[in-house]
Amino acid sequence: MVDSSNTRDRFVTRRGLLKAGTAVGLAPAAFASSAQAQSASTFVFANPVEYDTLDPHTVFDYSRVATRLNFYDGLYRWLDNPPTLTPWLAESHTVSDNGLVYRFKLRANAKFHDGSPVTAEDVVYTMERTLGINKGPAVLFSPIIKPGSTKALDASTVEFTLTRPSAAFMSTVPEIHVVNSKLVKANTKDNDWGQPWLSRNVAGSGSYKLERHDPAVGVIGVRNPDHFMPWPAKYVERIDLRTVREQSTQVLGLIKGDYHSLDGFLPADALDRLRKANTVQIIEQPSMRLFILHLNNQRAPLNDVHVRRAISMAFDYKGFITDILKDTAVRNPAPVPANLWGYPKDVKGWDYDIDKAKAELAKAAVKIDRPLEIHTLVGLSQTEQAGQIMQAGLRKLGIESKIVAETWPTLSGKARNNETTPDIWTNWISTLYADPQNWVGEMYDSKNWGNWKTGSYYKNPKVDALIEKAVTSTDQSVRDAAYQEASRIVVDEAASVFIYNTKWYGPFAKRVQNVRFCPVGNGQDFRWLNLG
Amino acid sequence: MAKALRRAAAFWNGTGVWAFVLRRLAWSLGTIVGVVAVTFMVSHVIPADPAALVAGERATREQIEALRHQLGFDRPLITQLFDYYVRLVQGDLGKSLFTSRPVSADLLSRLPATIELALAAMIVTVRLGVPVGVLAALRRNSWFDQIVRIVTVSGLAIASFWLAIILQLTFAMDVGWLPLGGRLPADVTPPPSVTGLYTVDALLAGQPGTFVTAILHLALPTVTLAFPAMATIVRFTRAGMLDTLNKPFVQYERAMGLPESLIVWKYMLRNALTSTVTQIGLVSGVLLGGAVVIEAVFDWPGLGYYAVNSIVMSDYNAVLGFTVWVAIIYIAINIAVDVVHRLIDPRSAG
Repeated sequence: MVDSSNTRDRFVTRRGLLKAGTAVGLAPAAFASSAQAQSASTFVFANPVEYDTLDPHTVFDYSRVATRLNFYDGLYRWLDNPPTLTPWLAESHTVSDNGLVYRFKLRANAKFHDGSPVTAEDVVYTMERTLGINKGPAVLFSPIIKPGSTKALDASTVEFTLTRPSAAFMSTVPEIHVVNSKLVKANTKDNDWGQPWLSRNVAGSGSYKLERHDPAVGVIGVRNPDHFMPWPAKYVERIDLRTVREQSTQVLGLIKGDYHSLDGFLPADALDRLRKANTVQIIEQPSMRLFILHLNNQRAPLNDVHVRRAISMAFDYKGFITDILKDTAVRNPAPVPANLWGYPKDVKGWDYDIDKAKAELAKAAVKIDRPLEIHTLVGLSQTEQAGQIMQAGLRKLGIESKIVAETWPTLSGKARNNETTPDIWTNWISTLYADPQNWVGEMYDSKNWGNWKTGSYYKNPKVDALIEKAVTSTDQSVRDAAYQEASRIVVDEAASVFIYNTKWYGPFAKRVQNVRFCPVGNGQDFRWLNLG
Repeated sequence: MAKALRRAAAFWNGTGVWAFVLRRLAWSLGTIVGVVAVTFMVSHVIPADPAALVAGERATREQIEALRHQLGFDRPLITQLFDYYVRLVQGDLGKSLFTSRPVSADLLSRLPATIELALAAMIVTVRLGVPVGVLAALRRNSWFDQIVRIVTVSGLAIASFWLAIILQLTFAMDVGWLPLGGRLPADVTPPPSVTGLYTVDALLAGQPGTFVTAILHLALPTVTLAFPAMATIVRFTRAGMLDTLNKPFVQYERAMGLPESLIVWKYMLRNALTSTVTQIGLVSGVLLGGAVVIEAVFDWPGLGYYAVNSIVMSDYNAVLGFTVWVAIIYIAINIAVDVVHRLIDPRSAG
């Protein structure tokens, strides 16, 4: 019995070794073929966030923008840098004299992935679905478009009637990602607008068709040769939008050639590492992503303008941008990106000057008799570093402070109410549409209170009036002047601490060519590029 | 009827394995109820607002309140908890707030990756850890034992994150033998799903190339996971064996002239394994609950990161669904460990 047992063990071991040997022997061949196939036709983008849903009407963020841009089409599209609003599914549009009625003419040759034509009815359904679900991009449209008001005048003409003039409407039209209404309706259950189905499937007309989606792994799309927009001479046949959470894995994967591109907002040390790799190119572009410290303007002592100005002069901007960020960002002292219209070029902003800050603090009517709280974001070291720099500056002013690290859901939840918003907190404002309204308009118009973007809870009737004028006017020069003036006031009253505007450092494999970067979407419209 | 009841009662109170398992399962229901209640309360009292997150970054207060009402978050907590229990009994874990998909579908889509990795790590851990622990005990204080001690202390002390990156740098970047991460390359279509385990499914589908590729993708995360787990198993096995070395029954068997290999690998090991089996159970539970760091570094699409993401996003249903899964895993493993204990040492049957 003993012998047989030992014999069996030895047999198992030999068989195991044989299997292992076979596996190792086959491995190089398997890898070589896979690597070559991948490199020949598939563009791999490593994204740190999961593509947990493909529904273009439930999310409106930058981390999953690639699925919206590559699987769906909007009526217009933002292209290039500076961003240009370009006819896309619609070939043209008209606006009524009163600025309320927008009429779009659709292209005749636009087809969904199932071959059916894109019609005005699909656009109407898309708007009704967006408003009905009331998530993500709905916040762009629900204040100005009532459900049921969008009309299909004929098969290729659609009309939106706004409840009030909104010059920013055209800037948001690219977010009307048109879905195949017949297909979605066929997959709708219990009036759910087909949400569960569309979270895992695509009903669009975009440049790529869905091949595979696994929320935990990513999305694979194959080129749509019938797309209405002519394809460039060279393109990629497949796009693989893969979730790669760990930054070190992303960097190693790009250097190794497993991925062709990463998110363009990597920290300085990761960029340094990539720059040294001879397989990688870094494409640098000015971007539009502001980093600020919100100051709660409604809570003492921050309700005193002199305290806010003193705090703005106690932040070491150069130390943060040059020493910590290695100049991967540029100072932006106002609430509009300096590379966008509406930015007041004459505004110098506040500089780091402790003596002046102390003098300003002496003018304050309120006494600072408690430590201020600086809230940062867990896992985002840059926010913690900014918090520490702010804390050091405050200490020099004799103001005690406490840094509190929180998750984004917790922090953004608190920031929806001026009573629970922290004293000071870190925030990035990304480009969701290229219009000053996305920054100064949404952040400092007190009508918007109750949303984290208004986290400074600043209130000034004059600024409110200027923003209203900018939103309702259809005259670009009037809008430009109004946003500039509103920005000047906001900076003078130190509503927030305005720190920097991000530069985009797009890390790409060296063989990737013809990258077409646009701050809206951060270069993730992949139909233009090729693998050389 | 009365006779049947008496027989059922006798079975219930009996010392048989199945009666034991049934009794443990019955008690486990209370555990699940308690775990769900605690998780539910904790996840609902933290100051996050999932309705606001789902509504989007620029949703108005009215829109958030409307969504809160639609999701039922404006009802009393106890009502929400009771509703959850009712749905749980029906096998409904609810829908994810963010994907609108059933949580059970989300969990099931990630479960095979977690199970495959956990199984691979456990196979390596047990197949290597137990024999090494035995040999270290038999050659106590020898150079082999010293090396094992250094390695096991390293296994417990080295951060998995660091080890994972070092393995990637060495075997994926420098030598290029193994892939950096993922379960399969993008251009390799996963085998037709039977079990969801790519290695098993590839064999079932007769795809040796895919099998090899899947094994190679498993290699680095498995080693990273198995290293600390193996350290634990080696130390417990070694300690158990040392306890057993001079037991009278061992001396008796030696006196009877039984072969040393039989004494060691059958009789001594069986006696020494009690605490090791408990550790194997605990390690299995941890692995089956998802290994967040390893999943992140190796881009492994398992449950761990889903759980973390759900917690960060305050996706209540997903958090609860994951908690129920982990509770079930631990209950099942505990029962299995107790059953194995009874098999190893019948005295523990009481």
